[in-house]
Amino acid sequence: MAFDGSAVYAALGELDDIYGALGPAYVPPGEENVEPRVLEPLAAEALEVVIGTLIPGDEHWPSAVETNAVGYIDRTLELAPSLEPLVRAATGAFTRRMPEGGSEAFGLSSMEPSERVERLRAVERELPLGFQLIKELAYEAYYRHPAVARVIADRTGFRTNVPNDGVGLAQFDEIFTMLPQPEEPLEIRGMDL
Amino acid sequence: MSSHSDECDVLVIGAGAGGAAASLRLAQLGVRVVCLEQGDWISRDQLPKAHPDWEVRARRYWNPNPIRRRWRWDYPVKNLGANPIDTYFYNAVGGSTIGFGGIYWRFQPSDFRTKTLDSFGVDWPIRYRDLAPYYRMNELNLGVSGLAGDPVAPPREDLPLPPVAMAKLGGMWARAFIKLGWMWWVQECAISTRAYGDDREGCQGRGFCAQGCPSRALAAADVTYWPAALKSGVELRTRARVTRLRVDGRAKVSSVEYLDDNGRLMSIKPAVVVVAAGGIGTPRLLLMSSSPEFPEGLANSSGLVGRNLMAHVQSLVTGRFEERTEVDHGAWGGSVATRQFYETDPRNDFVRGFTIGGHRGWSPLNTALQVAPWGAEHHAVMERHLNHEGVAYVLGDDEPEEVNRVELDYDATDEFGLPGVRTYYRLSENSRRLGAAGIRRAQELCYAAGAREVRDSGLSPVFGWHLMGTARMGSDPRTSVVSSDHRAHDISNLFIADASSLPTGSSVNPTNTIQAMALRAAERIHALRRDM
Repeated sequence: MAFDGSAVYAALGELDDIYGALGPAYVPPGEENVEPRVLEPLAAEALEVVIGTLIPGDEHWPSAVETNAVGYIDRTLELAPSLEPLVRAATGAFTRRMPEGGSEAFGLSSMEPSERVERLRAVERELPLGFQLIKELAYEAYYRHPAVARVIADRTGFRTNVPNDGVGLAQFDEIFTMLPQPEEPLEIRGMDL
Repeated sequence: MSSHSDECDVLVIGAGAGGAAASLRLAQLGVRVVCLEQGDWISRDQLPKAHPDWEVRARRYWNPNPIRRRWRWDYPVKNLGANPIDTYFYNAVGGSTIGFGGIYWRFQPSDFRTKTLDSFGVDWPIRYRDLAPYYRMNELNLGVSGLAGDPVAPPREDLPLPPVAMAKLGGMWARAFIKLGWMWWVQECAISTRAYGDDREGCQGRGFCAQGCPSRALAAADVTYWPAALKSGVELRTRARVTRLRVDGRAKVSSVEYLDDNGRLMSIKPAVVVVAAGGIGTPRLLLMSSSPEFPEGLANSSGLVGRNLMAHVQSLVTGRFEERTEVDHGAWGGSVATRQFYETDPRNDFVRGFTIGGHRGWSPLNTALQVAPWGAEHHAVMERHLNHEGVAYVLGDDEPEEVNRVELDYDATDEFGLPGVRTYYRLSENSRRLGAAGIRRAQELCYAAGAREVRDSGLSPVFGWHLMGTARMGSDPRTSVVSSDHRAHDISNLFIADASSLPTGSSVNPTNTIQAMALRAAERIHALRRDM
């Protein structure tokens, strides 16, 4: 049975309300919650499985779980409590898709990867705002993590320190040899009006 | 009610691009200036790029949309219409220049005569040659970089500083322009390429300029005009929210009321008022200042205050290349652009045209949010895209239409109960066709540069980076708000010096023009002082 999140969305209103709640809810690096303070244990566990499914690890890249994205989201919800129902609804929808007779912990850790993906796709369809919120927060936590920055540089050549440190004063030179030289003067409209 | 009252020669409302320039010039002319700014100074530490997690900061407290940023002194902005604008402006010392990219073209001569030339919009009551000296003044004040000799632009003096560095992508774009046979030139940028003025380094190539420039190479008004204005004697009062302009029986502004940071009502009696609160803030203030004498808002006998909102026709077209494009450094606005399609071409199904700028690619988080799917494919897609992209920026002329407008919103107020605004916007048929053509040309450019895949941001939601036209200049008081002297037709001591006074928007970034207009307004005020 699909989870009905319409009441949650109605309460929160439009997308700008979501981003507006996030605006003042900046979490500095190192201030992510070590233990969840907002999310209940089952929701936190489900969220961890969701995050690990959103950005899994591989031989080069860490999983988003390793970047404490759960703690980042939990701290964000502390600062923006109006968003908690969205996350709770999405994690609830993820767990409620368990078959009847699941284990005490809803068998999250024993779920096959393909099943996790299938369930998460269903949440994405049925609760798009909550899913999008979790996904964006997970991406934020991931791409600001120092371990990920090292892999970015290694795998793509993008040096994440450069926007902070710069590369020094560069000079313009080669372009002079490439600039076009029109054969005839161009009309510049409006000069005589 | 009023706990303090004082006087000044000229009161400038708004410390952004226009307000800063007007304040300095007036002070240089010996005028006693007070400027009220509803926001505050930005510290270097607040700049996202002063920190490693700058991308997240940029999405939070630095978010350019005030609805999403929610600084204490922001007011609500609700964006409506068939093509809502994603409004982009900052209430701060420096205004929206604290978060801009610093692309600084002059308007073309034809931009001042679009009605006569192309039956598009309206003609300005001034011409390019009237503004040229003020462009020059502004470029010298800021240290604008670029190269004289652009064959599609009027002859001009050398720019104060040499162009920004090409870097790898600049060369790729330039070769693509040549391959396509398009006229192109180096971009003019409000980015110092060498040390300029006090405390401003040359560009260190940090890139992603809108997220702050710790070296002050980006010529935001808070690090250029404002230090000079303060030295020249301008008094700047921050966290000062103007609530209304009051007029007397002679149809002149007699006093300006504002709330200080504690919500105390203050009053000041200027001889002259310059409103420079931007394309959204200026009509908001004029509409808030309605009275029995001006029931539709101050200076609004034309009914056009808040109307003719223009935002430019824009799209970002991203090409993905097999080679690395070295996007981690260099001015984000890029170093080269084409104005091949700037003017009306009778073969098109639209009038006017567009510029295409060759910009850098995206940063890691932004790349991921745009293209990287969740799940098993996430990393592979990131590795194909991050540092393998470049952006062709389409900027087209937007037709002024009265239906596009700013209105007060008393249902959504700021912390002191002052109204927010609602914007209504729709793309005209001309804008849709122009924008579609711009996207096609930008795609063509990307492929000519070697891109294997191309994606674009479409035309809607509309980027609200340039908000213009809502208190426009004109000769006829029935169809404009201010005269060629920047003076309100209805109110003899009220002037406007910001983007709201632009009658048409051109196909280039407007900040150089906004500031040139403000410098001119200052000199006109000084010249007219004995009449007021």
